[in-house]
This record gives sequence, C-alpha cells and structure tokens, in this order.
Amino acid sequence: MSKYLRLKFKDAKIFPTRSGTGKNGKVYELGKSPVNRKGLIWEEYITPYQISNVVHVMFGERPVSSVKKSFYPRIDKYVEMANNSYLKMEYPKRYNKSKKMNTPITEILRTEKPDWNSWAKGTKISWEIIRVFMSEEELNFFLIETKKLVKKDPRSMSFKNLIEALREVNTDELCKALKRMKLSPIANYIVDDGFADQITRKMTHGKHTAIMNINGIADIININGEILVPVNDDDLKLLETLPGSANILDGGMVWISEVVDANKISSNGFKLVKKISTRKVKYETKDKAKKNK
Amino acid sequence: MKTIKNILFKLDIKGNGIVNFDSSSQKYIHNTAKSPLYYRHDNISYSKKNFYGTAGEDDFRYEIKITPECMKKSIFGENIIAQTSKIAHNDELLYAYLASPTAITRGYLDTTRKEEVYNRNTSLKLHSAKQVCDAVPYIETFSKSGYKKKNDGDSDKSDNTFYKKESVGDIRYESGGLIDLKELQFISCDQVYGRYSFNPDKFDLYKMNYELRFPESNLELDYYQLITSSIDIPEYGIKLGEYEMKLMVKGLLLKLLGMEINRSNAYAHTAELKIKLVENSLVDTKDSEDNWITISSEADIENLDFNIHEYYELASENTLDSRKKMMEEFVEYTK
Repeated sequence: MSKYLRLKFKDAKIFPTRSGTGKNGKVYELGKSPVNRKGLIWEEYITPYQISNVVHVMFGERPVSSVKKSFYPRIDKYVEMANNSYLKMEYPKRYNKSKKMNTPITEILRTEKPDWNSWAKGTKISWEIIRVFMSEEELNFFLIETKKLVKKDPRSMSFKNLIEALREVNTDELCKALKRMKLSPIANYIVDDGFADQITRKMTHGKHTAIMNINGIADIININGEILVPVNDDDLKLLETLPGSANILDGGMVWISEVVDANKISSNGFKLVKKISTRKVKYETKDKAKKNK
Repeated sequence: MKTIKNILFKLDIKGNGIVNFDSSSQKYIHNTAKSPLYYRHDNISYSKKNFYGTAGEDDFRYEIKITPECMKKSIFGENIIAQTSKIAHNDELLYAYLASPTAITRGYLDTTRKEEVYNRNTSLKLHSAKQVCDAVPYIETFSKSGYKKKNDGDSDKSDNTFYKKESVGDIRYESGGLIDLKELQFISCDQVYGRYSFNPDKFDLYKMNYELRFPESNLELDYYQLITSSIDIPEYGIKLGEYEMKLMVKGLLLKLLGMEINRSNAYAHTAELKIKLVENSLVDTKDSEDNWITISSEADIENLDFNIHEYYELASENTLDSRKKMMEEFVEYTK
C-alpha cells in the first residue's frame, strides 16, 4: 500500500505584482548587478520548484534557487518525488467587479524599503555616510579644503553643521573642484538640503547595497495549505533522523503532520504538482498597458 | 539524556482589545461580505484577520489574528539596537549586533556596505496567533481634540476629529512554531551558497563580540559539511557549540514565556507555553497531542535537559577539491 507524507504549511506570504509596479523587487545574482524581477514572476503562487525545495529540505538536502544560478544540482529523486506530490492551497477571495472574477484578499505588511525609493527619507547625512561615499583621497581633500574655509577642524563638527558653516562662506571654488572629482552630490548638498538624497542615491544606485528605511508597506497574500508527498519505507526511516521542518515562500512554516495510507486520503482540492504551470508572467507597466489597450 | 532534532512549541495567548492592525482597505472585503464591520470612510482601523472562503458567499468567515511579525517585534524588540545608517556603517557597532544572541536567533538582513548584504535566516519560526474564543469585534467611535481655530468669519472649524476603530473585549489566541536547531547550529559566510551572514575577513571582530556573550565558546571559521546532504561540497562558516546553543534556546523559550504585546488601550500576553522536544520527527509531530511539556516558570526552562543533534561536521580533505571546483565555476560565472 503506497503511503503519503502529509505536510502542512501556514502563513506563506506572496507579494503579488500589479500593473504599474514594474520596479517591484529585484533578483540578486551572485557577483552581478541586481536585475529587475520583470519577466521573472511565476504565473502560479506555488510552483513545482517551491515544492521541490520543501522536499529537498525535508530530506536533508539543500534548496536550489529557481530564479538565479546555483552551483550545486537538484537531486533527481526529490524532484521526481515533488512532481508526484499533491498540493492544496487555501487563501481568501472576494469578487472583483472590474475583473469580473474572484481575486485574492490581500493584507498589509509593514516592511523595509530602500531609502532612495521611500517617500519619507530616513537617512540623514553624517560623517559615517560620507566616509563610505568618498575614497580616502577624496575625503582628505575635502577635509583640507573645508578646514581652510571654516577655519576649524571639520571633524570636530557634525557634517550637517559643517554644511551650514560652509553656506556662510564662498564655496564656489570648492564646489567646482568637487564637481571635477565627480562628487557633484556633495557640491549640490552644500547649496541646498534638498539634494541630500543624491548622496545616498549615488551610493546605492546599481549596487548590492541599499540603506533601508523601516517605513515601507506591501500587500501580501497569506497562503495556508497541505502537501501530500509519496514516500516509501526507506524515506520514512531517513525522515526519523531529520528535523522535519522546512520553509515555503516568505515566512511560510512547513511541518510534518502525519503519514497516511493512500486509500484514506480525499483528493478534494488537491492538485498534482507536475500539472502546476511553471510559466512566467511578464507584467506591464501602467504606460505599456495603456498603449497595448 | 535525549538528543533532540528540533523544538516545537504552542502558545496560548490572552488579551484584551486589538493589538495588531491592518489597513483601512479591509473595508472593501466587509462591503462585499455585507459584514457589520463595514464603514464607508477611510478613517477606520481594522484588526488583522484570517479570512476563509470567498467574501459574499456562505463559506466566508473570519477570525482576529496576531501576525508573526507583530509577535516577533514584541519578543525581540527590547534587544535590538535601532537599525540606523550610523550603526550599519560602523564595524564595531555592527558586529556587536551581528554576533549577539538576538541577531543569531532572530535572523537579519543588513544592507550595509557596497557589494555586501548580510543575511541570516531566523531560527524562531512562528505562525500567526488565531482567535480561539467567540469574542465578537465591533466598531467603536473615538474622538481626538485639537486646538480650536479662530473664527475668522469664513469658517467655523476646529481640529477635533472623529474616527472609528475595531474593538473587542477579552480575547484568547493560539499560536505555535518551532525553534529550528539546524538553522541555529551553523552561521554561514559563504557567498557561493547565498548565505552570507558576516564578512569572513572580520571573523576576529565577530569572535571577540561573540566571546563577550559566551566566554566559554571556541568558535572556528572553517569548511563544514551538512551531514545529511548528498552533495559533498563543504560550506564556509562557523559551527556553534552545544553550550551556547542551549543557552540561546533557553533564552528564546524565556522570551516566548514572557511575551507581552502592549498598546495604549490593548494588550496580549503569553498565558501558557507548551514545548515538545523532537527526537523522532515522525512521532513527535506538531499535530499529535502526546509528549507536550508545559512550561510555566523560568525554573522549568532551567531544568530542561537535552543534547542537540549534530547537523554539521568539519569537512574532510577530499571534499575540499569539489569546493575548489565550485569556486572556479563561480569565478568564471561572475566574470
């Protein structure tokens, strides 16, 4: 009699994409610049790749990313096991009048956001930021030149106070020199506070780093469900030596519920994993969607 | 003594009022469902809820919940230094945080310097606390007084405002989760595996800060193999000692036992904590009613005695070649 391992999961979060949010998230490839998620969104919320990773972790293997390069392979046995599993997802819905169909109910999650992408800028410019922004030579030049202008050691003042002191004197030559050194954000900041974010923006643009503000919000869909994984006696023996837990999507906790005989399972609401689409949806920005209409 | 592989826990939470709020756009759901909680304006605060079924149909129902994020904020909130750019850019402060038990158990994502993102998965996995009593929420009206504007003849307005808020009386919730010992046991700093918890070049700074918390520890940065994995490619990082892990686990249990979520007019706190020490993951399951231990005091946590299963071991010499090949492939790919 074939047996199935019943796994349950709860609070698996997915960040749904909407038209007009073309910049919604990036994929960080190892050693490469981050790329936009555009065109990398799965049509289904949970695909065979996520189930495969759950099965890999349950059986003591490492998960393998489905959207970026990994330097170790998936284990064929567990990929096959995942494909022959059954998935049941539960998430609340409501009737959407404009789309004329049931759509998932979302929930608001407080999250972090890169500073340059936040309406409320959390970053104040300080010496710590400047030390990262400038090279050592550039910083030395800046310290020497500003010392001449404000007639005291600039490091004895906060950066903000230094800028205010510089606004009292003629900084034309200093600004010209800074612009020549490709440090225009500092030159602009000396003129006007409004340019402060240019500094952090230049620091973070296209880089793997970003100063985060804890003031973002995001819509999420919370998914609960069950996975039935076909297992044999050897698999069960192996499972006894393992922790019996895994993750799915964002924050979703997966645990072993029980081992059940195949004839005691109701197939109601379950879907064979290999029949779940792995198609990626390319979503459009608002402008493109309008043009295409 | 038991050798355990994981720790499962259940939380019984008691409270009064709503401690975790959602956005006002929840009103659309209540509108579709013809619920008494519907209010047409935006100045309303709704509680976070679990919804089931399809709004407007017979199977639709909801229950108040507290999200794992809200509970974690209250569990770890006191121990976390504010994450400001100043800390992120100062090595001493940053590594004092990264090597703290709070950061190691809670996990983190620190986007600090150019080309470096530090991330660590959490070892405390919680799912949301759902309402388990029949308390019925209702909409209450509140007012907030502002200063009275001078009557200039054109308008007669003051800054007094009325707003609505979902409210409830005594309430009970149930939550649960697990302490993931496999995740806790190893701190990776391996970019190729995508688990980069700290910069290995700053290991001395990390070790110094770690030893301040655990003076008897003996951290070694080396190549370790995940014992259960059939891929013989070791990972660069630190394996935590059993002594420190036990302290961190007991610290986490203490935090769970003392969890208190407080707002100005609402609260929720742990009423009962039950744990299950998992020796066999097929027998000691979350859904089975057997082997749960009730924890009601700090002494109960102190008296817990267990060994922790080894998930990682030092890599053998012959696996280091496969590691070298992997690195060469990585370097080639990133060119």
